[in-house]
Amino acid sequence: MKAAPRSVRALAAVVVRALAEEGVEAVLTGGAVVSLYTNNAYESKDLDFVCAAGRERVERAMASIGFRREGRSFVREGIPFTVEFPTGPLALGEHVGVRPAGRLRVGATLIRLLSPAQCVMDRLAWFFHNRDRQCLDQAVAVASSQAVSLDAIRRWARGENDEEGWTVFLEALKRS
Amino acid sequence: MLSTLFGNKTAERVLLYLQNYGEGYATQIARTFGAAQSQVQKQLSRLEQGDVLVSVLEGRTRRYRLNPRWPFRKELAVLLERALASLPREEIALRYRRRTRPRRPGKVL
Repeated sequence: MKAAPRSVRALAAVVVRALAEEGVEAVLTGGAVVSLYTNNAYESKDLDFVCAAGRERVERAMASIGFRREGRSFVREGIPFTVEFPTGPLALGEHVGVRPAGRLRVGATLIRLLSPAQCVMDRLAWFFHNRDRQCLDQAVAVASSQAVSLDAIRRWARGENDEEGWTVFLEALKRS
Repeated sequence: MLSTLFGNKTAERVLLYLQNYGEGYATQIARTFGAAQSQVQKQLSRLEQGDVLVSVLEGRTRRYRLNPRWPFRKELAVLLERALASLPREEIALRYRRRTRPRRPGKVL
């Protein structure tokens, strides 16, 4: 790797390219997607890629860009981000096996990731099920800065069975 | 803000905490506000006796949450959410934004 990537966007592209060299497809999820959709208003230091590939191929790909495994994370000296590969399938709360609808092009690299609406659902799931207010704030930030269908998110939220949580989200969105 | 209505400042903090985080126990709530644990426990017990809260014993810790069956639970939630929304930003960041989602073991922090 030439210069050390200094942003979530740049590092995500580097990781996706390295994985592709090993024939591995991965989906960017979690807080890093919030960073991308809020122009770093909420900066994540973790990049979570969901992928179905075996551990060896992922380790080879990460080693090729200078990352070493430390616990469950991959780290590289001089880079302020960690990279992880949580096991799939991709889930949004109670909805399992979700297809990622987001695409981000960085140069010639196409990154597959959660769409803005899926990112809001992902964050809301943590709020609904764990009352994590950091994630509520992130859901509001993405929903207020990206074009998302509130109807689609509402339909998804019904399945999560948290009417009170949904109301709290809508009120926070109105105030934002 | 709501301390007059709820009887005292500690009761207000206890209710705001439980609405915000969904659940909590005396030591954790006291630490969050720099309050005496005995005062927090007193209010938790009082509110539980009035059916506003319910609790479960986990090991040696009694964990409290707002009673979902209390007849005015929804109305109380609306009131507490309004109160939370009107807190100063610094207060929210300091006391009401602790990470509560799980962190995978072996995570590099």
